[in-house]
Amino acid sequence: MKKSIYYISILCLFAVTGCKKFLDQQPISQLSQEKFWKTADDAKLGVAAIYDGVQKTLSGNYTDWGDARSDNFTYGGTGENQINVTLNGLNSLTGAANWNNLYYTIARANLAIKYLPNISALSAVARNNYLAQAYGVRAYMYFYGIRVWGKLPVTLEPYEDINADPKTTRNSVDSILDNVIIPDLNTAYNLVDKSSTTVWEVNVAGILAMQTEVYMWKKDYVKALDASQKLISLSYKYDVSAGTSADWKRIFLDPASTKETIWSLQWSYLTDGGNGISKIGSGGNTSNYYIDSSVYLRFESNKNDIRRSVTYDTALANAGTRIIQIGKFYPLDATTGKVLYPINAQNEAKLTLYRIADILLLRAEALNKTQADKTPVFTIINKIRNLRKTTPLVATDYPTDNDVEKAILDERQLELFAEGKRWFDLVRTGRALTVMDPLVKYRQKLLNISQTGFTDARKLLWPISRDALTRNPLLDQNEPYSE
Amino acid sequence: MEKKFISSRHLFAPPRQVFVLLLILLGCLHTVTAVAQGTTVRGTVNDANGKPLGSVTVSIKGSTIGTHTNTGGQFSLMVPGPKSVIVFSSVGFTTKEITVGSQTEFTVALSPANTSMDEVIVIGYGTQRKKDVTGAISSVSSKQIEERQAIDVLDAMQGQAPGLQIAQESGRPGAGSSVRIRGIGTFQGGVDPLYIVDGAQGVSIDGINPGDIESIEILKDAASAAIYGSRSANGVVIITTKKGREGRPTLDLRYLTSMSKLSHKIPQANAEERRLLELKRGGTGAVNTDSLNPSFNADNDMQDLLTRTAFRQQVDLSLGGGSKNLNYYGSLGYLKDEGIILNSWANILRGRFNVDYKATDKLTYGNRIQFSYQTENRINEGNTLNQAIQRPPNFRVYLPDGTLAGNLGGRKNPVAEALLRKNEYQILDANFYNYISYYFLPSLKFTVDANVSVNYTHHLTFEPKLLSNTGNDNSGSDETDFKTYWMTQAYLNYNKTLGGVHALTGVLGVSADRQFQRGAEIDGTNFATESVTTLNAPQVYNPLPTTDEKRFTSTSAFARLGYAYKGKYLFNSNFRADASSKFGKDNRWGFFPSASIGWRFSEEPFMNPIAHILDDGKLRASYGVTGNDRIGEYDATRQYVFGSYYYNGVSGVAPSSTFGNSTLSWEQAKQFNVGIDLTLLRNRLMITADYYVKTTDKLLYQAPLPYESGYDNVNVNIGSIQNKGFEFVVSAYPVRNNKFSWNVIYNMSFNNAIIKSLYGNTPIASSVWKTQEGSRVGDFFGWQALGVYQYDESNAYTDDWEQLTPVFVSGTFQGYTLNGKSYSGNVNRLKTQGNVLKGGDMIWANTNKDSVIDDADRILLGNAQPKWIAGLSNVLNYKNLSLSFNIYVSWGGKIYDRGRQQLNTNATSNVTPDPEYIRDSWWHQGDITKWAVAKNNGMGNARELSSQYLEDASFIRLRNVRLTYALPRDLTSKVKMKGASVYLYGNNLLTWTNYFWFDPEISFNNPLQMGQDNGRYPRKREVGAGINLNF
Repeated sequence: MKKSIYYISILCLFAVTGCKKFLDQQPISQLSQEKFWKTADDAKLGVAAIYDGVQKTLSGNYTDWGDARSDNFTYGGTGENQINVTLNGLNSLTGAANWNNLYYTIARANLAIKYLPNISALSAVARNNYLAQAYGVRAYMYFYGIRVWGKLPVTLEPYEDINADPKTTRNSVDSILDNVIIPDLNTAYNLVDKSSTTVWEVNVAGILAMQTEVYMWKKDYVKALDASQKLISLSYKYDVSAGTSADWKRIFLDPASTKETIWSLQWSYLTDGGNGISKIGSGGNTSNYYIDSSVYLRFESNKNDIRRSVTYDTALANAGTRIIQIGKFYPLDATTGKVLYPINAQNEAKLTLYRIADILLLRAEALNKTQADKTPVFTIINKIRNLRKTTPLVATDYPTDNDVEKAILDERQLELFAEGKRWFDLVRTGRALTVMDPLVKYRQKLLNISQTGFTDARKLLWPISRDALTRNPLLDQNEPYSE
Repeated sequence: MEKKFISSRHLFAPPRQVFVLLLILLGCLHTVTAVAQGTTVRGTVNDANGKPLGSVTVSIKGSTIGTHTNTGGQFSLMVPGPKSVIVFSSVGFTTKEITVGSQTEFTVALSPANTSMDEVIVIGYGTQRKKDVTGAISSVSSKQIEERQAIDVLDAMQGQAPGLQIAQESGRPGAGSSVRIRGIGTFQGGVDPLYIVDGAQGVSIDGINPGDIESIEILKDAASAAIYGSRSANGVVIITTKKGREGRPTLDLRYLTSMSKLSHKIPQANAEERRLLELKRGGTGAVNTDSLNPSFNADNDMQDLLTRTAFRQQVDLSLGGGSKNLNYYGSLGYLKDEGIILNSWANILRGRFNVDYKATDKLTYGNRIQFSYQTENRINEGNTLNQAIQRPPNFRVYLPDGTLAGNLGGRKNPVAEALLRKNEYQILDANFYNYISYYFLPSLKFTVDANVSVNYTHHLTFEPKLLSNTGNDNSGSDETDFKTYWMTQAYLNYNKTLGGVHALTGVLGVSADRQFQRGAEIDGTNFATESVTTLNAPQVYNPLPTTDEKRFTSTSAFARLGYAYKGKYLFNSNFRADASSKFGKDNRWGFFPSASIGWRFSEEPFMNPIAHILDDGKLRASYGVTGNDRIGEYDATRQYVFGSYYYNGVSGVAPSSTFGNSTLSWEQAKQFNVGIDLTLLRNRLMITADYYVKTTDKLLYQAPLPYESGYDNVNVNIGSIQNKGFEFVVSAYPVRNNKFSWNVIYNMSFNNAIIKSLYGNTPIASSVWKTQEGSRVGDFFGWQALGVYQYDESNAYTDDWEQLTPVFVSGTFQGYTLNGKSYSGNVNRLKTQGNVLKGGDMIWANTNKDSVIDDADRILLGNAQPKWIAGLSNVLNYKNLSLSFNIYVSWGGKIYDRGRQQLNTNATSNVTPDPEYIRDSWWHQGDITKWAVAKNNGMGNARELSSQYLEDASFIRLRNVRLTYALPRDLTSKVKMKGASVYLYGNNLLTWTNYFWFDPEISFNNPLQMGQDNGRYPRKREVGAGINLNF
């Protein structure tokens, strides 16, 4: 008996002393939090994750948010989602109503903004340039957010304390513009390495392009002109140049090779998965969205336009076949010259986020708003039109400011077709209801449902997803999409 | 002889065996008859209380001479001589032998046979007599298992014990089962019980051949389970495998074969109905004008094409034996199981070797070695079955040249999917357990053991070009998973009775364990050739290859103290302390105490007057705390992860979407249990009933975080679930005599799980369920379907949202009536998804009385939990024949028929709704039906969740029937066999249910997603035959 007690106590002793070490198991295939944000490499890896967030946010939503609700597209096939999006029938379950990836991206930027300054191994220039990208992306995400949902909850610090309440209410659009987006862009501008022109990340031109678009949204045309002027004056000399279809196609296939592009989103299906742009052109599935006939007819009205044959297969158009694929983002078969539509899983289209034609036309819009002399406006439009082999516009055909603005928007529609801009153009210029109401009514008629059209301006915003609402009871659903 | 020993330990004492015994005795006859002289002896046979016993068999050992006692218990018998031995035997009593000697008058008292109360059952770290048990423990014996043609351990346990709910995940070969003991007390902490195999944890139960099982004990209440502390909250299942028995070796050979078919076919549209659908959708409904086109003018019965008659073959061989110091048991089993879907199969080889060696009186050494190897082709149900049901019947399956067709109109060819898609598994599992025990004192035993298990799983997939959407892409993957686990335990058992009345038992011990897991995955596309599907063939590796490793450790100390006074007043108490690497540094230790008391009131003197009715009676009560540690290895650590966050060639490092919670701690389940055990009427009736309240506190689950935090979820232990339930089992012998016996066992369980609290009061909601405080687990949440608008004008309501009735005269709309009276007030119209509802759209309950049907109109539509479940098993024995059958009932609760909902959304043009929907769906103004217009108009007519697709989940099922014939002894002995039997059996023969889809019995793995039927691999109806030979 005594012996056994002896043995047992030895065992117990062994157990207790060995215990602490034995029980301290650190992740093997992951990094525990205290081991990250230490080295120069960590900065690079952490910032890459921010861009990965942008990819996840915009894969698919690039189209849903920026194009699918506009007169660029109508529904393809019978899927509920595309019918809801194109017939003004959004609800809290519509996929693109979920903002999860947008906030994951913001959170990664917040972590970088907090921890990058502690990495002493980085040179000040490198550190500041990384920080500029974090600020720039954060502003970009919030800017998307306010345009899609309006009021938003704002988080500028990483969530790190389990005892802290992560729930916040929504802030007004104005306060987000004034207190988050604009200050972030200013900080980014101050910090960014002005010599960097890398097209795959937020560079100085990208920041100025964002500023231009943000001020346009805010209707602060003076500041928009100021920002766009700075962009034009950059020593790198961004400018429109493509005068052939092949050149214009390079904007999408090889954006680094042309000074037309400012910021593009890199994509490799091997590491990023398939790009959701398959929704408008895929080698394996039916497209979710087909080009709407109104814009299609505009393309068809000028067969010399170099953009037409890049945007869709003109051979099909000439044969009178309904166009259901947009090919502008995809490479061509070297021998046949036909677009190689990738299957969904292998879609590695690069997404154009900003390019100079976009900014020049925004500048034209601002000029139209701020001055009576329309010459500089038409100079910009016609510079583009001449390059793209379309007939120049004559100022006298556009007697009112409104006519001029429509001319600019029309040019933007063809130039930036399917690049996530059209819907926001319509909303920014207050034209969304007038343009979309007849189209929606027509589509409703085709489907034999009540022709309610698009008359409720509150529906310019998206609903907040049901998932986000249940996670945070402090959020209120956008009217009229009650919870 | 083997079988007899087993069965006599249990209630089951069929006359067959008495008969066999007699036959054996007869075999020795010739040696005795020579000395016959002939003396007559007389006597009386009484029971223990002095009451005379009738019908007692009185025979001379080794002869054919024999008689029975009369009702007065008297007998007279000619005996051959004074050396003769008289044997007194009767069902329910211990057989007694008396040497005649010079006596001629006998008064014999027979004591009751070893009743179940004297059985020894296995509890944690020791054994206990059943009559001393104070917790709620159910046992399943090898005899009960043999009555089933079980494929695995869980199959063997199904329906055998109250409070135990087992459902196979699907009917595919090799499919797992979900096992719940007393409901679900956790969200994500892991819902399976803890399995202890021969004292060891971490043993794969899939590697156990059900034929090797001696007994299964199910520890249901906290007081029984708490000795296993932090892993016991879902209950504990103790499996004991067979040991060799002293004596000559026993060789058992078992073989069975069976055929199975799809048990229930779903109504499916034919080509004619598909054309009607086209017509209703606005097409012409005509056949494809090219009448020879094989692609669109077929009329296939896809369920017939995809399923088959499947065969199963199983052969088991076991050898056991032993001497005084050594016993051994070894077995080898092979199961070849085909699934009813083409090309689905599983082959399993299982082996076992058990040895116990008594080196000295004090020292024993033993081992348990188990090994299994399984190969399987797992058919993807989504790609075959669901596609088969959805596919337009007029689409081709084969090309005119007899080869398989590929995808057509975005629909997969399910037959090609089944035949050509590779989804193969190889699973190798081995377990080595060793122990040494040493008696320091006769009452004090010290045991130290070690267990090592290794599992290697290899998973190979390949999808040829024919199956891809483009017809031009192939892909494959190769995954391996390697897992090692070890555990070592050391403990003392103390067992002593002081002064004949104070029985003391005790356990004290420590343990430590560690698990390591390594996973690797390689995926590839663009295979150079489809003849080679290993992962050297792809031209592109996508996604990039990856490996992943994880490890956890835990240590424990545990103790038990038991005390019984005169076997009448019982007390047991457990205590366990556990520490695990999974939890936050400050919350690493968890403590799990429990106590239970029992009172065997049948031992009290005041019960004597009814002692002839009540053999044994016991009241039990227990309370204890158990725990659950089944969370991720590193959930308490905030982590940065990589591998899927690339940008521009750089592998980004991002915070894990699960927020690491450093305060994470143990989930605790507190359970109170009261129970009663009664044995009545000379063991002819046994009743056990239990009531319990099990409250899980500090609920471990992945709570959703607001996305704005940047995280998807956090593992928390806040919140609480309560399970309350009542369960009972009645076992009776309505008839029991030497020729015929009938044993009926009925068990029934009621359980209800409700949510007491949640993290931040935040409900966990999805499009189908809403889990919120105060509600039941498994609440379905959605829109109430009220019908279909008959006319466009039917969508008309008063200001109070009362529906108006439109009036038509010869097809022209005239106005509205309300309750039969003409209505001239405001007419309001309901909208949904931005549009006004029209004729043919669903009428939804407008619960919040506004002008829109939206999320706010969703209500509670029902609950997935069954009201009760019950099992009825019968065993009838007549001479050499034995018939057994089991009936299982699950009553109440709803099931979401998502398979059907997916058919009827009209979201994809080539998904074909069921024939009832096609025929009855709204078509023209004025149609009265419950099925909405058969096209997708963006109005969400088949939205999730619609009450239209919630169905009653009740069912009654004749689960298995078996008829056994044991070959007569004299026949088998001629061929030197100890015994032989043949049997016929059937599984899943009949089901009574109103459920539309394949099968209402679905697994319930996730309490947050209960009762959803996505269209799983259907169960099969199986008929088979087998033979058992004992040498």
